[in-house]
Amino acid sequence: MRPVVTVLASIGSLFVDDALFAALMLTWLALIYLLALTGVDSVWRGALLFAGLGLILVHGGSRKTRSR
Amino acid sequence: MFSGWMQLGPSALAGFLASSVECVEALTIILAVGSTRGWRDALCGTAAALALLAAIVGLFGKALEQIPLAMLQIYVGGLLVIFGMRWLKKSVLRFTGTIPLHDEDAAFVAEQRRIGSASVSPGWDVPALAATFQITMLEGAEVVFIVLGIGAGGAELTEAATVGALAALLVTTMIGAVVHRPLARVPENLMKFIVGILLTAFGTFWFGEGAGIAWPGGEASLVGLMLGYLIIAIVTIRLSREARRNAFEIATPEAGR
Repeated sequence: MRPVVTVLASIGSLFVDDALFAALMLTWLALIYLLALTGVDSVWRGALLFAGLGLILVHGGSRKTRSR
Repeated sequence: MFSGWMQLGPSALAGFLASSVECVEALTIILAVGSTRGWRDALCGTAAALALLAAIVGLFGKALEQIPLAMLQIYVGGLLVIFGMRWLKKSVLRFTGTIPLHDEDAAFVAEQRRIGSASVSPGWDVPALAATFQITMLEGAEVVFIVLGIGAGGAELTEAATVGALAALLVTTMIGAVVHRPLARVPENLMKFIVGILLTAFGTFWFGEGAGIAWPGGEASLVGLMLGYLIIAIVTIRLSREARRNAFEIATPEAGR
């Protein structure tokens, strides 16, 4: 049983090992999804989705470097 | 929608590279266990995990067919973004030296030491079975998720990613069987960097499609997303290296002179 529990815990950590990084991504994805309800143009939503995720990557990388 | 290999190629490549990384990591542990505790139990643990994974894929595959495509793309795309960005960030941090590179030789020796100290009982070697079952399940689950994630847009993409994954399994198994050593020379971090970019681009594309975004140029915009994330990742590496250098100069002022 223990190997199965360990595997399940490890699978969870495949997605989240930095809580802030994961939370920022989830929040951004939710915001982009909700923007569709406000009638924002599809091309702009695509650009915002990409740009926001890019910024989260830059922030996540440099934050981790500074904290080490 | 996805008709030619120009479109299916990135799916197969992502499936192959991502699965190669996972297979190499699993192979290291299986080799360490097999060479220390014997091959029968090491291979039985691996086979049991592969059988369980196949059963899970069979069950989930049927269930996934019932979910509306847009909803599937949102969930799978979102998870793929989180998964891919995590890989990409880790490989960026490894390139900048913030975290150490994954060392297959060290992992091999550590596992040999760990499994070698476990007690031996007559009959089935439970520690050996558990170790190979666990690593195969874990790395295999990652492969299954990657293949399903890449294939969120249709059966052709799933098939292309599956072909890539099976090719990686075949190549790694053959090389492992011949050399009987961990594949330490595989440029693992570079592969993770490329896969991170591919998965993040696929995830962004699928999530956008599910959320009603009409990407300019359709699936051709996947290439644009890949290039975009590549540029952002290179910028992140440069910024992180600079931040690291500045931190080092502040900590040791004479080093900056």
